[in-house]
Formats: sequence, structure tokens, C-alpha cells
Amino acid sequence: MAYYNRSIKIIMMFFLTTLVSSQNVFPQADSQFRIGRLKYSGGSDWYNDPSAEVNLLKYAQEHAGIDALPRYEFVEPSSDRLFSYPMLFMTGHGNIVFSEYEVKQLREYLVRGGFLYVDDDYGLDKAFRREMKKVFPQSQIVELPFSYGLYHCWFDFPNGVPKIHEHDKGAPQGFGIFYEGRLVVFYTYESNPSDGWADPEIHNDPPEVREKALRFGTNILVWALTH
Amino acid sequence: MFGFDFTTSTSWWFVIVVLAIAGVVAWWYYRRTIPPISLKQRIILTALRGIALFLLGYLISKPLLTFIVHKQEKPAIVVLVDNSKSMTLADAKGKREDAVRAFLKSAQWNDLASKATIQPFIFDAKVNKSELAQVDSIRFDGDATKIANAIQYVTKHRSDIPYFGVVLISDGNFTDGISPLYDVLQLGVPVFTVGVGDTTVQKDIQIKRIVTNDICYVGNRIPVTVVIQNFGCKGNQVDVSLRSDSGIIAMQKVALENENGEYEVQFSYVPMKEGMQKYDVVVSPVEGEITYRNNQSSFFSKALKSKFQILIVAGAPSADVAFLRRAVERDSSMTVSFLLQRPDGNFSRESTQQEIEKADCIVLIGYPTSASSLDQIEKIRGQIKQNSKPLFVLLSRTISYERLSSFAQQLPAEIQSISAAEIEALPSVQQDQRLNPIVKLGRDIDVLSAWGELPPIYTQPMNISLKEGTRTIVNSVRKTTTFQPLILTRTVGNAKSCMVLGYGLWRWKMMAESDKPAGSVYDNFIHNTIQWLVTKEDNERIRIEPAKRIFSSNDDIVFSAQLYDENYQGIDNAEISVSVTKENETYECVLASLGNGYYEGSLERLPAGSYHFVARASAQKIPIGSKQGMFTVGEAQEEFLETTMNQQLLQQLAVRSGGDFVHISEAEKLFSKLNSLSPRESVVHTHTIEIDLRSSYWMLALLICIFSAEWFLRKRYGLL
Repeated sequence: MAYYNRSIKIIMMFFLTTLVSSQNVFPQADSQFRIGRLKYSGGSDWYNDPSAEVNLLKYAQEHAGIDALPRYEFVEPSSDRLFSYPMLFMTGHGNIVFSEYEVKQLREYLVRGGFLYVDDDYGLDKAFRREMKKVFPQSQIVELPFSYGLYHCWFDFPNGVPKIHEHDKGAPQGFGIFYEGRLVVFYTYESNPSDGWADPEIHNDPPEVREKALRFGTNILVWALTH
Repeated sequence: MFGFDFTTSTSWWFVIVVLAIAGVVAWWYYRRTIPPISLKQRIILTALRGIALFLLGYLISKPLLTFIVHKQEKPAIVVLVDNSKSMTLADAKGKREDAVRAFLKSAQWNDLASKATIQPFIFDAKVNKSELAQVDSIRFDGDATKIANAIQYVTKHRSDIPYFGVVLISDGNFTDGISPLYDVLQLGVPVFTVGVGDTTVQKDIQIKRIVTNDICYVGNRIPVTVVIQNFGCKGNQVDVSLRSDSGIIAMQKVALENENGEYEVQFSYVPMKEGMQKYDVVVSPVEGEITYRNNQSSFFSKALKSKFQILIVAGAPSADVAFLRRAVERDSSMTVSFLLQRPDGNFSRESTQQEIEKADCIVLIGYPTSASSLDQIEKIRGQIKQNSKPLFVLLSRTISYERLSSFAQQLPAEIQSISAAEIEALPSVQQDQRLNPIVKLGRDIDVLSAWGELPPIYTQPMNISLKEGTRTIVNSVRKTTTFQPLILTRTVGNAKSCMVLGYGLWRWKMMAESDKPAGSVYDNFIHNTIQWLVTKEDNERIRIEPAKRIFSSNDDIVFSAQLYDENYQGIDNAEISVSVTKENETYECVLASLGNGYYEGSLERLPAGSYHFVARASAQKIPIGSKQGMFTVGEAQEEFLETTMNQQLLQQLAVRSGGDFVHISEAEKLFSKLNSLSPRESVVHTHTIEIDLRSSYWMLALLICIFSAEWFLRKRYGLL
């Protein structure tokens, strides 16, 4: 009888293993990691390149094992849905305006444990710095050294942020805002990795540039999901 | 003078009537006998019968015999002799103890004896009666001087006998208790203080105090500040050393540049092993010091494990990994090492056997997956099993239940089947687990309602069987119905584990409002769980400790113990023997049961030194366990910190009580003062002794004797 029970268990376990542990059979689920595109006010194109994070999530799923849902989703800073995303992504080309409530909400999101990645697609820098000062008035936006863990946590980027798109011929830079020692906001300037994540036909980036951008994006995700 | 009165509670008329009846009955009985006996014989038998009947009749009235004793007593002179170790110091004029002995042997005490009763007592921390004739047996070995206690003792017994006065022989340095200046006012009789010692500062160097941590962490550098006091050793250089059992840890030379003064010496040491450790501070002697006994002092320090190493092993990056890691890293008592698995099954960095071995708790988040290396799994599992390492498991969607079953022996539950479908579930703390340490929140926060306000997390329907020793702390609830367990804990022997049958716990932190009790649940839960897992229960079945770490040479060495069975119920019928060793000497002690598993026993005073003890417990000759430890027997330093006579205090005591102060070298003055005091009248003390004759065994014995004598004579006279 004991042998019989054990055999049943082994068969069931085999069945379950086949059913559950294969990547292909994992159905889409709410619990999967998703990135919320931040739908901010101010007139800039917060919505540009909607394929960017979808492609990044697919890449990260394959190369970092992140159980991700590759789907374009957006969320307003004033929405309570903000808190259902462990990570937000913000990009655009122009002005950003956070209302007082949005500032409060965004700060609360980051303080509780959320992570915001901001990519300047060109012309976002001034507005970003101004609005983030509202969110963390006491904190400085500091440039991260090349030795910072984010640049090495999965793929190695010895020179920090890679150059994906040329803007003002400046050196690519990575900045951060820290709260209680934790990187809560990561900001890339003169680099534009998210353009490299977008579908190839949009910016016609060569494959190696796209690969570099996706690798760098994977590092951002791994850092956000392990620190 | 001694005298007594006798009274009885019974009326004399009753006594006469009973006596008459007894006499008549006895006469009537023996008026004629067969065979006839002589008159003399008849009188004897009649008397015996009459006395016996009278006593029996008399006892019916419950007679009470009352003796009133009168005793006339002379007033007393109480002599309090300081028995502390400071009396062994030698001043310029000689040893203090010799001066005291000579004083007590003085013939003038005999002259005083005609006027008053001399009542000598010796005191240190306690007060004991003594005799002038036993002066040479005074040991002067008390570890403390408690003058107030001695005066209180005299005050307490003042009603017994009138006091002529109190003679206090001391150096005036009280090292324990309160100042005697208040108590001397309550005494109400003059105190004649006899100062012993010298008021001029003697040459001495002593350890005044040691400041360090009683509890420290292994591997941390611990500062030790030693303050040494110099009296008159100017121009000398001393070596101050910090020592442990293994030898000298550090040594510093201190040049004594001033005639008097304090010198602070800074040391530090790094405890290398856990547990209690004894350290000594020693100052090298300077020639001519009044005593070398205050040149050494000891202290104990307990070293705890420095920080708990928490190993987090993640099957993949996820929000649960980030949030848990942050929560653990926020705890300053923990250090985190982190292993992240790559999709190929290897870790993102090389894991070392050492870091797995060193871990005090292993946290698996979504690990193992189907890609996980079997070798790595075995490495972790082996350590958990071999060293009973605590295990904390959080599931994920991508975890491999087949590979997780490698840890089945350590897990709280066996997952028998699981559905791939994902569902949301709300946590609900079991009513009977609301006080469980892992779900507790801050004071005044209702655990059940705070947990009830949390957002849902994710789980998968599964069939599980709980293992022995498993508790369900939190359930998954769907539509107000308990769905399946969510958080399980298990304790088996020393092994502890916790398992969360769900994932997405990060939502408790992100989606619960931070200004409400629910907002604190996630961090508290992670902190509490890790703390619970790494805390080793004091589940030793035998616990034994000496009453002190440092005993004085006058102390009995008292041990107390607790003994438990496998269910942690006290065992009362066991034998606990303690073997105490110091070099080649061994002392044995058996502890006696006090009930409820508590035991106590003691050894009489032991010579100074460091001792190691091993306690062994057995019940019905079956060993239960053993425990070992250490303690020290040494001299109390307090008695040697003040080497000069405290004349000011002795004078104040005398003045406040209406007595006088003399130095022991001028003892003649004391006797003339005592003799010049107007004598007090003797006091007659009356003591009443009442005897209930009816319940007196003596009366019973007397009756038996009378009846026996009568029976014996009747037999002899041929009446039987």
C-alpha cells in the first residue's frame, strides 16, 4: 500500500512538474512582473515607443529568468494602481508637470519600495529635475560612478551607461536619487536606452546597439528586483 | 537574683474536695485486704491509690500551672568588633588586628564586669556573638563592613537588657550598607568609638574601578578603562596588564609622576569565542605598599555571536526578492549574503561552501526552479540537514515543486498536488495564533484586524499534508472562507522552518497604507520570522548556574538548577551532582530538589582561584544531560580601597550618640570614661511560664508510675 501511495505521488509530482515548471506552460498571470509607464501631465509624449518595455520584458524573461508579463501598461501618478507596479518607467521629449497630489503619491510610492526609471528621450532633463525636486526636496540627483552595482549586476558595463542615441553629443550619464540608502530613481541622460528597446523598425538601430540597450535595460530590472 | 511564684487556675475548694474524695475512696478500698497485710503496707498502698485518684480528679478541672520567674540583671556594655579584612592592614604603628586583640585582652574589662555585663559581638556584613575569652579566634576575614547593620542589631535587642553603652572598635570605613549616622540616633545609648588604624595616607597603589561591557559580540573590539589610584608612590613605574586564561592580552607601563592621584589606562580586547570569559587586571606591586591585595581585580564578560548571517537564495529576480532583502538588511543585527540564480541554473556568482556553512538562516525565494543545479541544491540541503539550519521558504510561480521536495524533511508541509491556476488570497491570522511572535505588531495594535486589512497576494490551489510539529499561523481566505494554509511554521528539536504558500508578498508593503497598522505588517513579519528562526530556544533540559560569577572567600558556593523532561516538564526525582575543579583539587556537591524541577545546593567556602564546574543530571541512573561553566573565588577589593582610618565618621558617631571617640592606642581613656559614668540600676526581668497539666506528658508519666508502683506492691504483698 505504501509503495502504491508513493508511486501515485511520484506520478503526480512528475505530472505537476511537467505542467508547472515548464516556462511554456506558465499562463499569463496577474502576479507576473509588469512595468507601469508613467502617464504624466505637462504636454510631453509620455506614450512614445510603447513597444520599448514590452521588448525589454521579453528579453529579461529570456536572459534573466524574470517572470515578466510583456505588456504595455500605463498608469497616472494620481492613481492608486501605481502601487501595484514594483517599477515605473517614464520617458518623453518635453515638459513634465506633477500636481501636488501626484507629487505626494509618487513620493509615497518610492518610499514604500517602488522604483522609477526615467529615460530622457531628449528635452526631458530640465522638467525632470524640477519635478523630482518637488518629490524629494531634500535629496540630490547624483551621478552614479561606473563602479555602481547597477552597471555590473547582470551584464557588465564597465563604462556605465551605454550610448544608444546621440542627442547633444554629450557623454551618456546615469543619475540617481537615493532614499535611506536605496536607489529609488534611476535617470539616464544623453544615452536613451529605451529607444534601443523599441521595435527595430522604429529607430532602425543596428542589432548590436539594440542588444546593448536591452542588456542595459535588463541590468536596471535586475537591480530594481534584487535591491 | 532568681526567684519564682506558683499559681493554679483551679479553685482551692475544688482541690480540697477532690483530695478528700480520693482519700476516702483509697481508704475504703484498702480498709480490709485478703490476705491481710500490715498497717504500713496498707498505708503505702492507700497513699498511692489516693494520690493517683486525686491527680485524675484534679486534671478534670483543666488545671493550668503558672510559674513566674524573676531575674535581676546588670546593665550591659555591648562591644562591637569590626571583623572585616581591612583590620588586617598594617599601619605605621603595627597590625590593626594585633592592636584590637591587645585591647580586648585588657584586664580593665574585668573591672568593668563588676559594673556591667560585657557583651562582645563581631560584625562584618553580619553580626555574631563572641566572647572576650575568644579574642584570638577572631579571624578578621569579613568581605564587607556594615556598621549600620551592627548598630541596628543592637537597637533591635535593646529591650532584652539595659545598655550601659556601646563600644565600637573599627577603622570606620563602612564598605556596605548605609551610613550609620542615622541609626546611631535611633540607638538611644552612648556609643564610644575606638578608632583603629592611621589617618595619614599609606603608601599604596590600587585598582579603583574597571569600566567595560558585561555583554559584547564576538569579533568586536571591546574597550576596557582601568582607573588606578596612587597614594604616595611618586617616582615609581608600574605595569598594568589585562589578562585572560590564555595569558596577557595587553600591558601598559604607567609612570606615577604625582604623589597622589588617579591614572586612567585604556585597554581593548577582541573576544574570539562565544560564552562567559573571565579577565583580570593586575598592577605590578610597588615596594612598601600597605597591601598588595588591591593590586588585582577581575571582571566577567559574556560574548555573543556578533551578527546573524542570513543567506538569501533567489530562483530569479523578483519584487519579492527585492522587498525581502531590503527588510532583512534594515535589521542592524543581520548581515545578508545573496545568491541569485541565472536561467542556466548556476548562480550569478560563485557560492562558497563557507558562506552556506556560516549562514544562521537560509531563505529560499522561488528557489529551486527546474533549471537549478542538483549539486547546488544538495549543497544547501546538506547544510540545512546537518546543522539544523533554520529555513524560510517563499514560493514563486516558477518554483519547481519537484526540486523543492529535496528539502521535504525540513519543510513544515508536504505539497502533494498543485494546480497551475493562480488565485488571489487574503491573509487571515488564526485566532489562536494572534499572539504568535511572527505575526506580532507594535503595542496596542490589533493583529487580527491589521492583517485583515492587507491586500491579497497570490497562491495556487494545492493539496498539502502538514508535518508533525507544524503550526498554521495564517490562512489564505477567499470570499470570507478559509481556503488553505498560507504561513506555516515548524519546530522539531532544534530545527525550525517557516513556509509561505504564496507569493507577491511585496504587495503587503506597497499596497497597504503606510500610516495604518497594515502598513507595518510586511516589515514586521519578515523581521519577526527571521528573528524567530535564528533564535535558539534555551531548550537544554538541564540548566545550572552558580549564584555569582565572583564569590568572596567567605561565601558558600551556591548552585541552582532546573531540570526538564522531553516535554519540558520539571523532573523532581533526579540526581544532580556538581563537580568543581581547580587544578588538581576537586569538590563534589549534590543538589537537592525544591520541587517543580528546581534544585539547589552549595559547597562551603572555597580557597581563592578560578574554578570550572561540570554538573551531571540523571534519573534512575539514566543520564539526562550535563552542563559546565566557571566561576571565581577571590577577595573583595572594597575592603582595601580605603586604607586610612575614617576618624571623622567615628567621631561623628560618638558625638551624635553622646559617647566619645578614642584611638585604640589611648584605650585607658575609654575605660576611665566608662568607669566615670553613673551606674545604671539593675533591672528585674519577669518571665511567666504556663503549663497545661492535662496535656502534659510529665503528668501522664507520673500517673503511670504511681499506678505501676501500686500494682507492683500489690503483687509483692500477694494481693494479686
